[in-house]
Amino acid sequence: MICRVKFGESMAGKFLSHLDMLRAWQRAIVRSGLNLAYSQGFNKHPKLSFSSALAVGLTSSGEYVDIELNEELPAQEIAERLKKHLPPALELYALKIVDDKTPPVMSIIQRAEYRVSVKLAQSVPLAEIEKTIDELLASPRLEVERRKKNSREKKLVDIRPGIYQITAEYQDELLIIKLFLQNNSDGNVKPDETVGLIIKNYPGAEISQIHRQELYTIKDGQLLSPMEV
Amino acid sequence: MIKPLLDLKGEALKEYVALNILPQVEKPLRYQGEELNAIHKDWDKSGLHLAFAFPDIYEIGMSHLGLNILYQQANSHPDYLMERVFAPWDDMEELLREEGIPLFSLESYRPLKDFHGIGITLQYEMCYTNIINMLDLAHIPPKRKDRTEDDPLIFMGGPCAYTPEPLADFADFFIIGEGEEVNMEIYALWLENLKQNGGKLNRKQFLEDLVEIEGVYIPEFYEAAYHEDGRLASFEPIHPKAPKVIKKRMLKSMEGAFFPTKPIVPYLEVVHDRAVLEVLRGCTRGCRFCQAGVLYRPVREKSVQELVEQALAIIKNTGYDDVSLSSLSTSDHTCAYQLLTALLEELEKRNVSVSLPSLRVDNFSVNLAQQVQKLKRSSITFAPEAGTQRLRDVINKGVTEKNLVDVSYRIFENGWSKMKLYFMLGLPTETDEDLAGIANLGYTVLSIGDEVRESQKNFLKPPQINISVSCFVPKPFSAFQFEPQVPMDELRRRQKYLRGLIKNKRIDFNYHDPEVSYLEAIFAKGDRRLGEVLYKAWELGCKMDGWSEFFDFDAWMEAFEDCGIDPEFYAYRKIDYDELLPWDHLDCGVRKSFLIREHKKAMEAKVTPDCRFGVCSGCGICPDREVKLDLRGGKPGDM
Repeated sequence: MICRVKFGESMAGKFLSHLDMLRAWQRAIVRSGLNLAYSQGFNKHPKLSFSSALAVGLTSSGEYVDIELNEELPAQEIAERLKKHLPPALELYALKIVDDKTPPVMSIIQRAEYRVSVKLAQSVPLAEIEKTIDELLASPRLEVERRKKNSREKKLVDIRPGIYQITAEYQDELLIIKLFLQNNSDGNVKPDETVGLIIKNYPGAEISQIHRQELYTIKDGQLLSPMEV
Repeated sequence: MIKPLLDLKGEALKEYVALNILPQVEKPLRYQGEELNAIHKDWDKSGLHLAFAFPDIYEIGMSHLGLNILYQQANSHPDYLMERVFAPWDDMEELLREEGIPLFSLESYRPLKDFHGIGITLQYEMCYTNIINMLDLAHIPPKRKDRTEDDPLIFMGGPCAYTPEPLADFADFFIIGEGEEVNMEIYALWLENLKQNGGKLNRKQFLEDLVEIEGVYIPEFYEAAYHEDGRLASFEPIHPKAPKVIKKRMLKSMEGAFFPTKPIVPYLEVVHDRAVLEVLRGCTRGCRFCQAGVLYRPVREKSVQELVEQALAIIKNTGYDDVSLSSLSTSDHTCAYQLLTALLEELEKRNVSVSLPSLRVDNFSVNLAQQVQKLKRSSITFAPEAGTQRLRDVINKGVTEKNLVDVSYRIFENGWSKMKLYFMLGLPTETDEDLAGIANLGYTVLSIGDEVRESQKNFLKPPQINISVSCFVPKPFSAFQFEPQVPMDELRRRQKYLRGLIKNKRIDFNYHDPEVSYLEAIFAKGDRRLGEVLYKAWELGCKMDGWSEFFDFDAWMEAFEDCGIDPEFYAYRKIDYDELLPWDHLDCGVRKSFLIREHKKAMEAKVTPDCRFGVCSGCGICPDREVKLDLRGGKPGDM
């Protein structure tokens, strides 16, 4: 039986690496006494499949994991047992039982929504920030520098095709930038590099927190939560 | 430039650190806390506030069983609060200093200065400068004489507390021996004193009362005098209540001893990232280089039933997928086979594996290893320690070449391809012949591996041997405490010589520079005068000396020179049997006369059998301390 779980990483969890989080989940499931399925063979590993890895330093309220169990139980009971045993860094929001043939959550994610908090050195009218965003979105190419895999060399990557929407608002002194970005097997657009393109126009501005709000799949042109598939 | 002290604590400090400091350090989880099973007590409702300080980084400290035992035990009492703190890595240290944030505990994010006491565990000599550095980071004067009544008391325990003199300037008191009983007695007295004095400790009264607790050593109550040649002339109590000799504390039986079945589960991957079950305490094999084998006598085993219950409870409370059976020599548990069978029966169905840390070179141990490693046959480790039978007899390591040959056949026949062998270089009486013996053993084992592989039609991976050679450090409370360490130049020559004898690419040869071992030897045998050197070395920037990226030998030598102290006096001097030693005022239960006898036998290459096989070796602990071997089965190695 496969359960799909929506969960979040709180402030206490923001420094967990993907591997730390995986271990924390595995241990929570063992503590809850649920009969977790393991792969057979030389090196057994638990059958857990996560949505895309969350970078270290980010909080999130939209993470997903598919858990395969060797037993049939009502969703509510599984959710309650997991809730009780998750460590302080992780929080379970919802759980549903999905069909055994459902493609793993990792394979269906297409978009990620982020909320980036920015501290400005001096206040800037919202209209001006919106104008910067519009200009940015109007450019045909947006290049950022990334390090090549396993190398110190850098390369330029065009992230414009992977940016779908950017909006901004003020919450008290904090500027909140909301972004919808590509997040799939073809590559991810990173929230910090995207916001970096905006705030480089405002000296002294710095990102204070990045929160992943949600992950989406796409069905018939509509953004859909992985829980709704 | 140092900013003024940042006066934040608790939640406010935590938030500040999470937002401004942690994103800048390499491993923020070292400083975050909030792990599963960490204990967050109400500060105001707890009468006694203690911090457990581990003078190394989080990943090392959180792998230490003693921390979990003493932390959980203290917190199990409603009136005591104990929180953790580790030595910060230098990226964090730099930020703390820059921002003026005093070192804080992981649980409540309170500065260490707010606690009544800071307990520091002494696991190895090379963490001593970290102690000074941590106190300095906590804005607490490291030297006792510079502290006031407003500072916390600094107390220390653990194996190196048996040789505490180099730290005598820094500690208010030491705890000698096993902590489970004595710590709780100390805390009770402490709380009582606080209550009687309106929450502020009357230090003078406390120490007067504390000195009556067996196992407590208060350095300011003693005075040392030295001969002109540097040897200790006298070491006498200067307080009427201070005992001439301080006896170690120990549990008479491990049955029912406090054991944490709800240990903290780190988010960060630590060195030993698994459940740890202590199966027995002590070892009477009697290796003459081994300090722990003397300090933790007598052997006390836990029962199979209690161990299985504890293992299951730990798995239930932590979710670990591996249980490590820990002790000085786990295959020596007289019910090891029954224990393993019972554990595997319960744990395999839960997908939990069992691991054995180190194995003796005998068939019984291989049987156990086979049991636990049904699938994964990665590598297996043995420690013959010396290359020839003569030298193994000198050190009383009861391993023969035949043992190693037999075991090697078993290992390779059962699918292992990698074998690690540990040896020591610079053992007393060692010659080049003994070094050649190490190389020969390596070749013998490799050829056995090849032979087995050939007989199985090369189905297996080609065998690989890893030989690791450490530099011998003569330790107090071992039979070799009288021995000098082999000088560094000679150790390097021997390393080079041995290196030259190992020419097969499938024999990997590892060794370390002897500089660290030299310092270990100095501080292990050190007296009070070394406190100045420690402090000077720290002033010169020494810290994290166990980490090669920080270790600065030249700075250490400069510190000795500045203090006018000859380090060779401590490490390279042969000690007479009748010499007064800087640890003679501490009684570990084993008589010095036994160590002298063992040393004499070593020089004659005569072995002393393990007392568990019937003949008492006369170490003295059973009659003197009214204890006895506490075994659950027949003899070690019985099925």
